[in-house]
Amino acid sequence: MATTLERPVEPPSARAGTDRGQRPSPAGWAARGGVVVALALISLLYVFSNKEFRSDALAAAVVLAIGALSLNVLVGYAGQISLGHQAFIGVGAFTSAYVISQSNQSFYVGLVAGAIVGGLQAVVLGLVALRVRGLYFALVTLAWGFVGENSIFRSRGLTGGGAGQPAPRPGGFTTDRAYLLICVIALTVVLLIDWRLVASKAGRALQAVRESPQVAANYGVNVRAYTLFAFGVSGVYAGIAGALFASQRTNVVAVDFTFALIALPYLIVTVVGGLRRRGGIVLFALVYILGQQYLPDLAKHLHNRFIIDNAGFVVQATSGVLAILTLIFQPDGLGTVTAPIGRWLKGEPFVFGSRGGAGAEGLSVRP
Amino acid sequence: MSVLETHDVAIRFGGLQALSGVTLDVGEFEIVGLIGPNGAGKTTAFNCITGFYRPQTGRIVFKGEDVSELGPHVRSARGMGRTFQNVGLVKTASVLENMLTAQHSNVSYGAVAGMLGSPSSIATERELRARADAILQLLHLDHLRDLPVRGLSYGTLKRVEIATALATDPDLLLLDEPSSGMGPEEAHQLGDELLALRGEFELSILMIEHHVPLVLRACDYVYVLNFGQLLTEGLPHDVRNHPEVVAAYLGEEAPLAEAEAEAAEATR
Repeated sequence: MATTLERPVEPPSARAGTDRGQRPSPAGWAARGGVVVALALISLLYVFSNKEFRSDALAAAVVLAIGALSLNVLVGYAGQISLGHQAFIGVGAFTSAYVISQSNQSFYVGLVAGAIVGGLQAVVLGLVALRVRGLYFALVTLAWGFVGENSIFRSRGLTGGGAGQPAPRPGGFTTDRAYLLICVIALTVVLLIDWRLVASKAGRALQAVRESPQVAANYGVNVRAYTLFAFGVSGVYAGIAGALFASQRTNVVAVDFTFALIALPYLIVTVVGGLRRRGGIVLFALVYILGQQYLPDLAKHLHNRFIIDNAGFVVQATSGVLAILTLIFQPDGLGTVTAPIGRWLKGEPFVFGSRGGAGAEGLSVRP
Repeated sequence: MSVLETHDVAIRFGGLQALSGVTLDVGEFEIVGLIGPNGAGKTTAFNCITGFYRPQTGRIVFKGEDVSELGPHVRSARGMGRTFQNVGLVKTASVLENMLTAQHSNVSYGAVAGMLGSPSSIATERELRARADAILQLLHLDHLRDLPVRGLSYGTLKRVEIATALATDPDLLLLDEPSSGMGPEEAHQLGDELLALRGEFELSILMIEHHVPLVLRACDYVYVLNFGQLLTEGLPHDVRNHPEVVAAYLGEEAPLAEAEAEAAEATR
């Protein structure tokens, strides 16, 4: 082009030059590899050397992580809300359990069926989201959660009523440790999909839709279709989490899927882990479940009767407080810590601070 | 052949007749100006053309096809690239990310294929980056590539927005006050730059613009809107001296040249 414009002076940014150039040296890569190997070894050692074997709790944590990632798609990527995730998870769980024990299919068929039906129910809810917005839509999701909890999940033919629906684990994976392996593989697959989602056209489209439907449409993004897409993806993740949940318990009943047991803790894990922060969410899911496991032991040393008796409550109450503090002071949640580490592992220099997370978007509850 | 024709477009908001019977025409590779005082309905006309508003009567014909019933994302995909008066960018994303999102309708892989990491999606991502870089380089914006949009100056944002509009691969570029936030010198250069871009990207351009020298420099033809109606149309120099245009902008009996001289006096 013939003409040149004066370049406006831009303020220096911490972000400049992080994408290109400055590749780490071989020693730098070795250090990064070392950290990954060390983390993997510690995890394996933990699973295989633990006397009080906690694989079942770990499986529960992995299921919680997948469920929270499902919420992350809705809240973090699409800017929608779900206060009825007990229905999302429950639909997946009961579908899988029904397919396994009533239709005599394998666990894997149940898992796929749970994912599909979970996705479909979410898309139906998404159709409502296209018509009702904000607080009113939050109420719709709340209502949907209670419809699942109090009516659908109590219909005897589908869910076995009060006795529940058995959901046996797959052959060869009936022990807690073997079943944990299945859960970890599922989590890995979900994380990989989530990574590509954000890095490809759908993730960018959702970011635009979340921030400004007008800008998104101007970029050629079908706002309605991508809103439904986000609901579908969230529902599929939730369906997978539900199916894994069912077989982790080996029998599911309606009372497992209440607002207080599922929707609220899942939302708290998503928020404290950090919106759009996969690493933070998985980490806090582990902390949340293992906290309930280890807190009584810790309390025994401290001779604190109350904590020993109420470990679950203490973890939940603390997490609730953490969620509020997160929203006020550190919208990136645990992502504040995990994101810089993740970037470093990918070969960028270690820069502490948020980028592209809730904090960077100025999410704030303060006026 | 016309790239864009509007026929008798009219839209009313409650008691306000924002546009009535607007008929205009943008020919292939033409740069057409749309001017008029504040509140004349220029941006409303843009919103009708790009599909954000549905006019109550009238038709929008784009590249020979009636697009009146199509949503804004479809019109964007068909080749309308638009910038907004108050900057239509994803502010939390970087300049590069905006350039990638803007190429949405030209991405060959499906959303699900991208999510599952298909090899073609990964190859396409690389091409998108290359194309984004090429456009940024052409507009001398490549040094801003990795900066978040939030925090850039207003004048810079207007230029980044032109880059994203080009990234949508448009046949018709609709620019809403591209020179706002720029100094007179920059605005003048923008005129040369638009002429160059027209050749480079084989574009037709319709632009809302207040900066008179820029309109005179770049536009082949000018439409003047006032109170939602076309006041007049013609070649830039003719329109500039049209008594009704002068009256509409400055009130009765104040010749434009005199007012310009006064303004120059005041700034000195």
